[in-house]
Amino acid sequence: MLGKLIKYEMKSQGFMYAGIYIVVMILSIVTFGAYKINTAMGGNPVFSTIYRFAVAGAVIALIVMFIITLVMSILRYRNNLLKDEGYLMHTLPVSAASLHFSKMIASIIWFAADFIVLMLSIGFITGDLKYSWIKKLKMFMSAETDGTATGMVISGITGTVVAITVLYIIISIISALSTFYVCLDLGSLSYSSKGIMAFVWYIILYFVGQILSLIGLVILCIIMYGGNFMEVMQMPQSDAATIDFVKGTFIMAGIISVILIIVYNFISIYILDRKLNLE
Amino acid sequence: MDVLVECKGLKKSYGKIPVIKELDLSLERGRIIGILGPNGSGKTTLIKILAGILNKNDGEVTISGKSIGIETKKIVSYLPERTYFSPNMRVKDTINFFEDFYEDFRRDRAEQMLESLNISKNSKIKQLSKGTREKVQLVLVMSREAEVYLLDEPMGGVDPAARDYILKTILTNYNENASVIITTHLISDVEKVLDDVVFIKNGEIVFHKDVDVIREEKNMSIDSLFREVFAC
Repeated sequence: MLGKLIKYEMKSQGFMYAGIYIVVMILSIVTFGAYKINTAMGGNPVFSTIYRFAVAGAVIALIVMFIITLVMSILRYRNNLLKDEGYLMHTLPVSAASLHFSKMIASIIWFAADFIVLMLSIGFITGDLKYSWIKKLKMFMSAETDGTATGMVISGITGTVVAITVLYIIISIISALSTFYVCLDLGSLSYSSKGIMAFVWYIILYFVGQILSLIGLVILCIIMYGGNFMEVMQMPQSDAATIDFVKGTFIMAGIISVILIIVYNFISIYILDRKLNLE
Repeated sequence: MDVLVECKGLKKSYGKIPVIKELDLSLERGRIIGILGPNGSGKTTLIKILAGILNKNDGEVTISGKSIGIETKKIVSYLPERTYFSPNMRVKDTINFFEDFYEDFRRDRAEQMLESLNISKNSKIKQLSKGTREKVQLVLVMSREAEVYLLDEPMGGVDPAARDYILKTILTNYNENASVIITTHLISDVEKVLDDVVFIKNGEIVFHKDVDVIREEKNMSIDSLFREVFAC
């Protein structure tokens, strides 16, 4: 049943996303054209300005694309599970977990599609359809101890760090979705002003997240430096130890996010299953 | 007596306001039952609890011997008092949706009813009038071979001619193993099809009787009795 729920979720938004992706790609291709003309004209100020405007337009379109995906993820959850459409969804013979995760998975798929469009768009915007920057990134990642070969100032950023960063971005997206969903669910428990209560819960959970991050940072300092905070503060920027610390903060932040994701999803499913309160 | 729906000591409150108070109710299979009561009596709350979209505070609720959950949702067909389809869906999408999720859904029955109501399958939900949307929902709900049909104000937004069609639809689409539970304010329209009535006030059962027995004992229509019992 989860598969069917995801199918309908994707289908219901397919046309909208197709439209967004087409607009983004058209703007990217126009930018590519402006880049080619500008290059052919040898940096003519008029064409150079047109190219800059085209780049700005394409970049704005990309930012809007991600914002729409986030906003739609939240609205779909609220409208489909906690408003009128919930009268249909919650009478389907499926578990509350399936309903919840169908929204989550569909949103993650749309974010993944956004990233694919982003990658394609970067190729057009930069006029680099061979994606030579990927080759450079690979070289950079293989330079385990010296990133300066690819022009990077900070040495020691290795493939592992890049992988951790990418993983952290994925976890952050899931964490953001889980936070928004649990706030909507907690807000729905109120008998009036559900939207306001959801917002209040967001503020509360934001502070909870910040406090946990701070605790995590302190634990990390204790583990890595035996609680010597001055050493962390005085660390030179180019020092490889800084990279280790950054790596450590990413891992610690990731662990905290994963714990919060588990807790928030558990609360969401519990509310949908045991405390459902449709108006 | 073949009990299909059973509530024992059911309690539900919204915050500190009690809506259903220690309600005990047994509904038999093969009956059309009207849950009748004034505004705020707890009718819709009871229906929502049976449909599984509202959680009780206390007590026991079973349908066909099963607690409310996925298994009961397989055998309960629920028509709420509001439109629950996404406005961008087409009528044919709603048919596909029901077919995908409910094993007991009969597509041919739905298509036949929509045709007789002159509702195009290609129409978008947002293009339909409120009354037509309600008809589409009723068609889909009654196209399931469910054991319990929960109809919350099924005739609230439709014209008198359509009300007759709805009653005919209800009568022709349920079977002797199923029960239809209807809440409505339009008692005079619906009483001719009812087998039992449950009068409910302030979250408590006032009485639960066979319609024929009421007519025999009181010598009055259900509509007149309702006006007498709930006179302001």
